[in-house]
Amino acid sequence: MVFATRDEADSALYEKRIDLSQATCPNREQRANGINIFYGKASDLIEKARSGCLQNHERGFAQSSGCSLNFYLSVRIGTIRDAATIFHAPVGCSSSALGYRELFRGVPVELGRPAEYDLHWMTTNLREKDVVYGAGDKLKKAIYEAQERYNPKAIFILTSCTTGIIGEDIEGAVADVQPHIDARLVPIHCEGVRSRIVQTGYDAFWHAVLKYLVKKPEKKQTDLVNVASMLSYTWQDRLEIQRLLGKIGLRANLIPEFATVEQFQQLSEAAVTAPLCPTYTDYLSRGLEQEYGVPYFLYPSPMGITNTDEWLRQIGKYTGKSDEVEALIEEEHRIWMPKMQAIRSEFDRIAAEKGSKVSVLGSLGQGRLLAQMPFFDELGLVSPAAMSQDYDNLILEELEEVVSRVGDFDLLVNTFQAAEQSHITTKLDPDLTLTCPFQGGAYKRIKGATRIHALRGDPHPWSAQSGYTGAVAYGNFLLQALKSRSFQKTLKEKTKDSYRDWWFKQSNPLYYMKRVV
Amino acid sequence: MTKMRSVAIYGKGGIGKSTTTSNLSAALADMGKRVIQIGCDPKSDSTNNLRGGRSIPTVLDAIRSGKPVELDDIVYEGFGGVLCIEAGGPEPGVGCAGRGIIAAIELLRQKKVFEEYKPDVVLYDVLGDVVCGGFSVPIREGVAEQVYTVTSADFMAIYAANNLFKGIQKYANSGGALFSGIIANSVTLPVQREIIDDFASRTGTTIAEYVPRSDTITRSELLGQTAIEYDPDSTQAEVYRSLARTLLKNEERYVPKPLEAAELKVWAESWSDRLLTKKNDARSTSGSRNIASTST
Amino acid sequence: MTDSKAEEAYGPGKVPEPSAIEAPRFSCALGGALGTAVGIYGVVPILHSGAGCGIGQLFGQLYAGGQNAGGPQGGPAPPALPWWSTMWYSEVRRSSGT
Repeated sequence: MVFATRDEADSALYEKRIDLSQATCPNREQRANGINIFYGKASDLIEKARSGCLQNHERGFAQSSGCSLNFYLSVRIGTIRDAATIFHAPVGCSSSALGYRELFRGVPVELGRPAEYDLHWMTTNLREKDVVYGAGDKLKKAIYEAQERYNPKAIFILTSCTTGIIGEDIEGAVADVQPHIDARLVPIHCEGVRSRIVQTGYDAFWHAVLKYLVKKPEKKQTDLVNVASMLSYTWQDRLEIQRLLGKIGLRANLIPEFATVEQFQQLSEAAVTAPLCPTYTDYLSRGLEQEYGVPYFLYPSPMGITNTDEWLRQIGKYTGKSDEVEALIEEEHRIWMPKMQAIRSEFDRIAAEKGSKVSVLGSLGQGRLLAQMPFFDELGLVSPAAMSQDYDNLILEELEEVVSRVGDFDLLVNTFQAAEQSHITTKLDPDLTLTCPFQGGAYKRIKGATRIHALRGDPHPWSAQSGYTGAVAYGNFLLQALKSRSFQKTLKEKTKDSYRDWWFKQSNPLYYMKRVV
Repeated sequence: MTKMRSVAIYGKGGIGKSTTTSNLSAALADMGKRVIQIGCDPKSDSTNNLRGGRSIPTVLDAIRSGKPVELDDIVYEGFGGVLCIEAGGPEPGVGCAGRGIIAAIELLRQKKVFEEYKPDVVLYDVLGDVVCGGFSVPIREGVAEQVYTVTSADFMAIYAANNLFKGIQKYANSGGALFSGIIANSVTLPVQREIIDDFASRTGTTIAEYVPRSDTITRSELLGQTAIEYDPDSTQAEVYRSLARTLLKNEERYVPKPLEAAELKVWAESWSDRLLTKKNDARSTSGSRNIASTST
Repeated sequence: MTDSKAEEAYGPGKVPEPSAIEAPRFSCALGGALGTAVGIYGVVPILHSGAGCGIGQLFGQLYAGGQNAGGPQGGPAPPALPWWSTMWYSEVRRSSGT
């Protein structure tokens, strides 16, 4: 594909327009040529993506990853206040929702977690009979039951592989029932088989929110800032954002965890939509701007001092608070810069001792890939490689930006493929490897290993990553992880590796990729 | 092969497989055999002509009722002592019929229907467009051992038969049923016979029987009967008896060689050419001579 | 309990019994089989399923069961068949004989 102008090329890279007349969004493969298998230089990836040659391949051997439904969609929708969730699925699909206590109970009520957070979720419990005869009636009955039991403001309906395969008519059931009940029905098409890229689930969620929940703005709330966050941002991050915005007289509309239905309805009244992760918020931001004129920006994420400065400045621009933002930045710098400097000096000292910069290998989502590379740079770390759970053209331009800023690096794109990740970790042997908590990342190594992020339910200050407190906290966290090795040592001594030596001798972590000729 | 003959009969919708199967069952029963006919079409009308046109409750209905299923709920006696079972399925536009077939056949296994009734012949009458995994269950290991297909000389029916051959090929190495013959239906004109013969030779298959169109069938079906019941001495009834005898004797089981899509198209086109040429020749020699429908 | 809304729609006295489940503390057949397999040392389960079944059960049975994890062969480590692609209709039609 060759394009005459940059604009032409851009418009072909991904679909910018949101079409709310459709039942659901296009999946990421269609929308932005999403892939989840690649190994090579970031510059190589960029070139292929630009020229349209980037292709997704099959894996001959794939480990369990996540699907659009339970890659955190199920646990998060359940926390929405005064709403109920119906899983239109066999009983097992919703079992991940059971983790809500483990996930959120750790946050003390004093820090702002609602004391009562009964989850209201049901499953239509599809059985063989329902598969054979269709389950439209069962869904309708479940909706009436949900209305009766919880009297919610909204009822979210999540679809599953099973309903997808038998071609269940969700919209038909919704159309039948909506006139008879008060709650707003919000069907989300998130079947696991829909897409390889789990982020399609997010797009599907936002599509449903935009289509069914967001109301036409009654007034403009010039002090409201929409902030949509991932599960991987902790409670402290939430507090930090509220703190920073509060200092300049703004309110954060934090969705979706623990948000109320009303907060969703008011999304259209906000002054701006600010990102924590760009590709996560992309669909929502575009939709809000397209339908209701709410401006947005997608970069940067507020990770690291420089990025946080810029993030605040952008918000200031859209809310007319540029002066206040500058004052805030100055104040915060006075407090936090010295601490950052201390951490930086320590890393530099270690680097000097060892003869080269401390190297870090992170396993990240797309958004973190963009935000954390410059952050590591800020800390005096070098990142020879990165892992991303998927890649799509939504981040292409920004990725180019990052490469020009920090230099080229190796990139492995995969979704939770533990074998591939342990391979690249062993081969590159960085000083510090960062792994996602759920990725089977218990690496047997002597050098540093720790997690890349915590979860929403982690209330500890040291787990923060956003804003200024987050920058310092995470920098410190990495420093500690680098220095303290006893856990890794014990793990290596006492347990066996999961994979054979043969595996680590292969030259390519994508050994099992089936190339399409 | 086991003593009990288990045969699956596939054919494109509307081609006459239920008619053929029920007449075949009746003919076998007439010869003193104990027969079970299992209809595997969501329409669940396969055995109607053995029951005076009345349909029977289906296996899936019985499962759906929630009560433990008894054999009396699903096995019904028809003409000549033929035992009739219908798998059943969802109504049009909903659910998954393929899954239904899987569930029904699984239940029959669990209820040990064949141990209970000890039939000589079991006939599975199956939807011919094998559109998903469920409809291939009768071909799979442990269900039927032989497969016949009913086809006419119409291209669409042959296309379906060709698809069936692909399905058989697929399961051939894992103990699946193998092919035993084509039942050429609605064969009245010589050219129709030629077309099917040609297809058979191209795919390495054999013809089990040629069954002509017949008024006897039309009349018997109006009464919800098979030809054997309605007019046992008719020529049509004798055709089915001949087929029954072939079925009982036929030990052949082989893997057919389906044509690729492109090949099949070329083959069909070559026949179209031939027929059109014949038609034009015929027109030019005599008045209007109706070459029977060979729609492509 | 009066199903007032449902009665409106279905007619009084004609509202069918609901058969959904509220917040089940259990999982499906696959979940049970996987849980058992993961619990036995030395067993690597292979899931013939969509991509999410493995991590779904990890979350629901292991993590939600007191913050357990899967161990070196459990959790997200079990191989799942390559999940069905965007052309998923055609994938589902083809029998996955890989």
